[in-house]
Amino acid sequence: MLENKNILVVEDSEDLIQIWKRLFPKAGLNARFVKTGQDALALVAEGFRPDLLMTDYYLPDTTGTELIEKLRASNENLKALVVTGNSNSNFKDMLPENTDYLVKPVRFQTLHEKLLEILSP
Amino acid sequence: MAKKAPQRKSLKDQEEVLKAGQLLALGEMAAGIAHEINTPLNVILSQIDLLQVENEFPSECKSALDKIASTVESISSVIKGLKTLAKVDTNHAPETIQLNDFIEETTKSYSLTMQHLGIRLIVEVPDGDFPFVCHPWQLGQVILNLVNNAMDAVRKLETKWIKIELGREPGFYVIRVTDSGDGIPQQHLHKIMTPFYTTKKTGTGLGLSLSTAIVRELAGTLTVDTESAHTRFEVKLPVTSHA
Repeated sequence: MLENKNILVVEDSEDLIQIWKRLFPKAGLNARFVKTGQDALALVAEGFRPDLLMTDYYLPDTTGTELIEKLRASNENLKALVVTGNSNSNFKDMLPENTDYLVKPVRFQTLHEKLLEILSP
Repeated sequence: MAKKAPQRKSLKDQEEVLKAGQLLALGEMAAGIAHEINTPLNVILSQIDLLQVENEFPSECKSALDKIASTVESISSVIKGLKTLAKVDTNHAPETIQLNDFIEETTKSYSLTMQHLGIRLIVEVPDGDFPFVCHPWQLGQVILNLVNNAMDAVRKLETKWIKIELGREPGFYVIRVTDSGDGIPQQHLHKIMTPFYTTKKTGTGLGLSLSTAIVRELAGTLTVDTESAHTRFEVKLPVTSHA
């Protein structure tokens, strides 16, 4: 069901990227992985069109909120999931509308279920 | 609409501010730890998930991996608990303030000091409705930190001025504190929000990091405007529907 859905993952932890690169295909998820907001924008400029952006909140060069807003400017239907290492009681208010979030550390099963939920029509 | 200016009249109030400041320091530290530790914890959990997906383990190995995973989750809970403990709660409900009035009132308290130092203070706040829900002393501490930094920065300059502005952007109120300095040197830019980082001989290095923690707790952002010709800090606070 999800093989034709593209996920763009932005995460600055190389370790986490390397593990997710092996876990995502096993769960039938088609994803590209980058470490910065600039790399994410470059990938989209090259023609990659994600259905879902899964991003860390605090990135080396931007925030998850800014990145979601920039990508939605050219793809208003882009779904978004923020996976953050730090949240507070107002965290939801820091995110754009129609944006879900999970707080690290998160088990892959939880992450997988959340991605399925967001990508389900 | 209630309009409240910051009030620091009694010793008890001052003690409360001090205590809350200490709690904020603890909260900032806990938030920093959470940010730095939760991603590595996520690496451990994801590595366990990967091992379990890719391998068939005997039951004792599987139960050991489950134990490691539950211990990782306990470590994360401890950090979350510390953040909750340090969460600023003065036992008072937040108030609705008018940001324009609040900024004018807060900056009035600096006007004599600035006059003494030969610093021109420019306050540009528009009339109108700028309701915002917060603990006023918290926001006062943010403005105080920014203005104090600006005063330290321009003290020895030939041209000394500090400008405080309030404006709106879609979904946000924007408070800008600009001074006549030439901006933050590139080599300091990425460190200035870090706890205990300071370029001042007598600084604690906590002002900006605490201010950042306060602003984040208010669902806003505190950033340096690197496009500005002068040194400019920008606080964005969300316009909330319940304000």
